[in-house]
Amino acid sequence: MSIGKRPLWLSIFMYAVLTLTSLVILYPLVFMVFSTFTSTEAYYRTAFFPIPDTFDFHNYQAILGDCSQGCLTKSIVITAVRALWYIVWAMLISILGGYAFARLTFPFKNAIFMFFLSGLMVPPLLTTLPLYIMLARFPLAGENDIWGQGGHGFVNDWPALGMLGLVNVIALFLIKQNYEMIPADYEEAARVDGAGTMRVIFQIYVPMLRPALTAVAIIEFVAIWNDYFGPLIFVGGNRDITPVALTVQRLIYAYTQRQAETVADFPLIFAAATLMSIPTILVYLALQRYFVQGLVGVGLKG
Amino acid sequence: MASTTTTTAPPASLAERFRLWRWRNRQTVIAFSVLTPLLLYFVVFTWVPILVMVAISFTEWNVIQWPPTFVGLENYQEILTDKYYHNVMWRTATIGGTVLVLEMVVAFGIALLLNQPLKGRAIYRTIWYLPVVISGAVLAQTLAVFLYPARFGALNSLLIALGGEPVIWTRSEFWMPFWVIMFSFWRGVGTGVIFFLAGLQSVDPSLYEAAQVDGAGRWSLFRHITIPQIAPVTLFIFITKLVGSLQIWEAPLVLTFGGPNHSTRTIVYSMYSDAFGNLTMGMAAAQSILLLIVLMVLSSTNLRLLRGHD
Repeated sequence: MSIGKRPLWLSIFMYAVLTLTSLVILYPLVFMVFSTFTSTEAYYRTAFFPIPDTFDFHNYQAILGDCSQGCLTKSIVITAVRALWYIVWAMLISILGGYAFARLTFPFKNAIFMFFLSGLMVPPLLTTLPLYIMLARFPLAGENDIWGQGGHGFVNDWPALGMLGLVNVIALFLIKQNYEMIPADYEEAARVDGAGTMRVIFQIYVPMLRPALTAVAIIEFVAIWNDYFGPLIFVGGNRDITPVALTVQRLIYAYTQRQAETVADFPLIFAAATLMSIPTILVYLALQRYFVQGLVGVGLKG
Repeated sequence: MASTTTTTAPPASLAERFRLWRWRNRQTVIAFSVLTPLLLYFVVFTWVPILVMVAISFTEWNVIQWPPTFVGLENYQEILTDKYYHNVMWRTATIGGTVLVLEMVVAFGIALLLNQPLKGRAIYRTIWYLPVVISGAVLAQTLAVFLYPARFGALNSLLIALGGEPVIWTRSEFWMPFWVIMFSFWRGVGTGVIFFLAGLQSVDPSLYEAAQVDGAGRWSLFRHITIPQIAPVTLFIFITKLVGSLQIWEAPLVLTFGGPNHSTRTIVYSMYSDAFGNLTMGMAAAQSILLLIVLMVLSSTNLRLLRGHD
């Protein structure tokens, strides 16, 4: 939306504002990464901004080798698999559900859609306790009898990591909006050629929905990778299946406690935080090209 | 879609009549065969728990004792009359409201800048979104280090370098709410930027061109094209941000456990501490139900405002 030529002072002003504010946003993150390459003594000498003096990865090696809270490497694998599982479900549900809401007419369509959207308002903490009871008392699971008594149910077990929150309402909304941006001509042409609903969805629409689906994948991956409270409640008692956010949280807590009498080894703590942040940053950097493009659909009414 | 077939003779068998019914209602059939499992899942894992919490909110329950003691509306009465809960609600509104306004205004401003043809804007965009993709708990841990008392804290070392006195941040009832606001803003503003940017980029360029031909100026384009065109995305951002900022609790938890002197106790933090700390499930449930009602009322009012706007 550039109109004519921008005066020079305005360009300088815009760059200045963007650069300064971006530096403020970036400062804590750069602080975090830089401090992992700083020795503890140097860290405490210049606390406002750590100046790296040990360019090796000993802090990272220490974190990766620390199995006191459940091995981090194992947690990373568990979380990656879990993220994949959730991404597949979010995509499948929003591709099919989005199609129904965007392209079909059926009774109570709006009411049902609003009903799903209501899920956005529900504070996650609200449903935690009833869900815990539901998982713990699930009949015939985890040594439970038919009445759900006697065992631990799904709590502290694998299913607790993959059963909850599979319907991602934001993803459904986003994909539905993106369906509505695609002209109906494509579908009609395919229908004339005799394509069924599933073929229309997966061969006509899905390729066109790729940016939006990428956005869904990013959002879901970030959410699962950083999911800390859910695992704490539902699998907190089983260190063999702890996802990465909880493991890192426990490591950081343990380091803070262990060193409370002396001075905390912040470079080590920051190494844990950095390690935890790398995958989401990489995924975002790799896919961000599609990200904004995929979100464009939310601007539509409907 | 293909046109509906017209049948002349009435179908003979039941099976055939069923096939005909399915054909006539094929959109409904497809829709419900997809949506029924989703609806069931959604009801079981979202609305059943909510109803359970509604039931619990009428009781006094410490999780261990069974059955819970029925107390009627006493929990709600306590929340609406007790000074502690008034403070909690007031703080939720002020902290959440400030974060909401800050995020909306700054996100819109930055998105406007990033929508200009500037070199390197992709880099700026990436930076603004980075805090969103990193774990909130980990980030709060980072902030805790900046607020570390004495001279080891990054902020205090800066203050000392500038010749000031170090501040014991975590004990200050003025500064901790401020830092909770700053942290939540820092963490959440990126989503606003990216959604505003998506909204701005989806505005049809031909609208601007047409208006320019008519001699419209910069401000007039902004006022009469940009603003109305991005109204829906603004509403979307506003509602999601509203819902999010009234649920701030991670930062108060990680930084000071709602302290000092309850000054960062938001309603969700208060729920958390009632449920998992004090084991007063009835109170936690009543607070969460009230919050849910407030969120639903606010969001649906906003939606209606937009509908009326058309």
